[in-house]
Amino acid sequence: MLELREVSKAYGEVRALDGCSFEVTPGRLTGFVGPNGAGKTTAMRVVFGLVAPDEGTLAWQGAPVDVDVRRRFGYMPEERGLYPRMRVRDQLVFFGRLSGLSPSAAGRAADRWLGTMGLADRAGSRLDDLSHGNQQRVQLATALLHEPDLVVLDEPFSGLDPLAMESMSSMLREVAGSGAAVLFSSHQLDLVEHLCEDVVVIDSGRVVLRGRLAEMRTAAPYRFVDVTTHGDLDRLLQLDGASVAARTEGQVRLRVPRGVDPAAVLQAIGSDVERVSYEPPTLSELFRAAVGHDRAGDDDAQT
Amino acid sequence: MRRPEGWQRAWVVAAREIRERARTRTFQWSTVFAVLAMVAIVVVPSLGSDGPKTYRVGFAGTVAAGSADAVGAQAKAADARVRTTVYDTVAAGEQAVRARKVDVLLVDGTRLAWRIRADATLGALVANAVQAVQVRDRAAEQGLSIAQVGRLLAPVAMTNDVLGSAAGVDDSARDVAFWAVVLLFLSVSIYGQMVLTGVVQEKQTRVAEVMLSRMRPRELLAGKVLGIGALGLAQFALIVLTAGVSLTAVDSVDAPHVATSLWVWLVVWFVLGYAFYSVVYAAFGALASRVEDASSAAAPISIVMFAGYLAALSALESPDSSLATVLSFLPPTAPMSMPLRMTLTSVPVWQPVAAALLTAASVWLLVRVAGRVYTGAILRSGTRIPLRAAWHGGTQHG
Repeated sequence: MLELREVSKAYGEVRALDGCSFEVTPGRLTGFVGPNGAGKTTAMRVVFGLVAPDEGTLAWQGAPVDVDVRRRFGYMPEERGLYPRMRVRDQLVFFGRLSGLSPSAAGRAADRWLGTMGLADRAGSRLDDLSHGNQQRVQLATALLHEPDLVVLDEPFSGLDPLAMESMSSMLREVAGSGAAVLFSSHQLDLVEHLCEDVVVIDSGRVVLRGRLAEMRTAAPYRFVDVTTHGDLDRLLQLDGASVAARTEGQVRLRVPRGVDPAAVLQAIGSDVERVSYEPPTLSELFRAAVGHDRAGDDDAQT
Repeated sequence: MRRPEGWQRAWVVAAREIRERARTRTFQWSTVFAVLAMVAIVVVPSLGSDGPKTYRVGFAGTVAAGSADAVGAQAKAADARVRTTVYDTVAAGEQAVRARKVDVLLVDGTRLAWRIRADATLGALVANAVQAVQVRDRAAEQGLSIAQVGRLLAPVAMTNDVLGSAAGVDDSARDVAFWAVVLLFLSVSIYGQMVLTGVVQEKQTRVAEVMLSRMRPRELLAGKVLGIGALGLAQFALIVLTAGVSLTAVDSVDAPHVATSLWVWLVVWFVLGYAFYSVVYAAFGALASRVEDASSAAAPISIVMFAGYLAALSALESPDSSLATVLSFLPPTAPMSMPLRMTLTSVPVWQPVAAALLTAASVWLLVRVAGRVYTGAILRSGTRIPLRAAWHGGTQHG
């Protein structure tokens, strides 16, 4: 397990991380979400020693993290971190060697990953001759080549088309399934909700929400009721403690306290119903509730 | 780096540098070009004067007795050699001229036959010999003995002494010194710049981050400097070897004699000069953020190197001046100034040894200083990073 404890880092006046604590568990996918400038990238860079924290500790399986421990980590930065003019296979072998693989083991791993990524026929191509999606695949392969115990990916889904996103998702599931701890950041909350068992929400350098997503959703003190009806919607609004989250013609999304009996809700809806659902908040809703304030225009801060 | 894994990772980086750079067309063509240029520099000036020249002179028709000896004696006085052939017929002689078997044919002691055009030197040489023979024959008619005439007409042997333009420095040594300084400057600056741009590129493309998540900054720096240096050393040694082989092959009176120890010293000075400048370039490269900014970030060190180059060249005329002597000991200028002085004047052995040790010691120090700046700056993004900030940041990594 990777543990960050009370990690702080300031750049001049800007507090990029402010007592940030969370953990990443082996065998599970952890989604790392937060507004732009919340400190996601800084936290990831701390894990890899690319940023030295001002305060706080970092531990892997209970022991401090040094360069030898990090050899068992894999990192995929948001921006491309590969040599543009170097051949794809050479590149993989090179990074495999840096992670301590022997030349032959690195060669075998490179060939295996090129096959897995469907890039076997591009082994001899220069990186910048590849499409964005394929470059992203190579970047992922360099992070996974040495079968790391911890994989950290910064925005692995950004700029991918739906098919590439699907294959990236299944790849990450597989990696976690093989026992590695996986942490990745994303702005696509639906995708994170769909993919991750664990979620860490960070805002202004502080972790505002963390844990098992299912538990966090259940633990929320409210539920959402979605109703599509031809009947009278106003009757619903009489429910105790209910508030309207969204409303369009013939459709309403109500926020009700967890204590409200679903049966009472159904009764209030009455007949003439097209569709009804009763559910805990989505990650998006948890996120908005946790981050709360409007962050528009705050995008330039150091990430 | 005290541990083998560190050197192992540095070696992986170095091997990549060597392989990827040696693969580029630019490197391959520049190597070919440099070797050809070096051959040209050595061979072309000596083409015109190929040492003691051997003239081939043919005789036909009426040949006065002693003509061949007279031509030989004239040639010897002019520091040339001559090979003479007598043809039975004029036609056979002319055929020999056309077939380039002889350079000139003397017919009946009065006519010179050339293939394409007359050679003034050879023409004068043969004319003098004919003149001498005729004078001898006329003198004999007047009653002088052949021996008396021989003594009378014995050509005066001239000795040749090359003074050069400045006292004590000979021209060919000056050529060697000039090219040595140019070669050292170009090589150190080309390979130093390679380190500079390599470092910035890794920073700009964020490759540095991916690498430094697996290794210490010092290991990356060492691998980069050693890898590019090994390639530079191979190219430099090849060029120096080419120069040595060409000089031996040409073997003309104009080709300077270069002691073997000087060749070795040239390579040593390349290594020291490269080591000195490349680590500084690496530090300045880490301070920049984009390749476009790299040269301006590194301007201070480039200026120092160029000033050292000009200072070394200015000592061509006065290698014994106290300024030249001081420059040949200062680490930034020693790699160019010391080989210059060693070529031009007699420098006691302790001097280059002391200067080399001094430079090596300063490299040892620079590796520490530049390594710390590099470490503090390589992962910091944003605009150009202040030297102070990098220095203070340098303790936090590695």
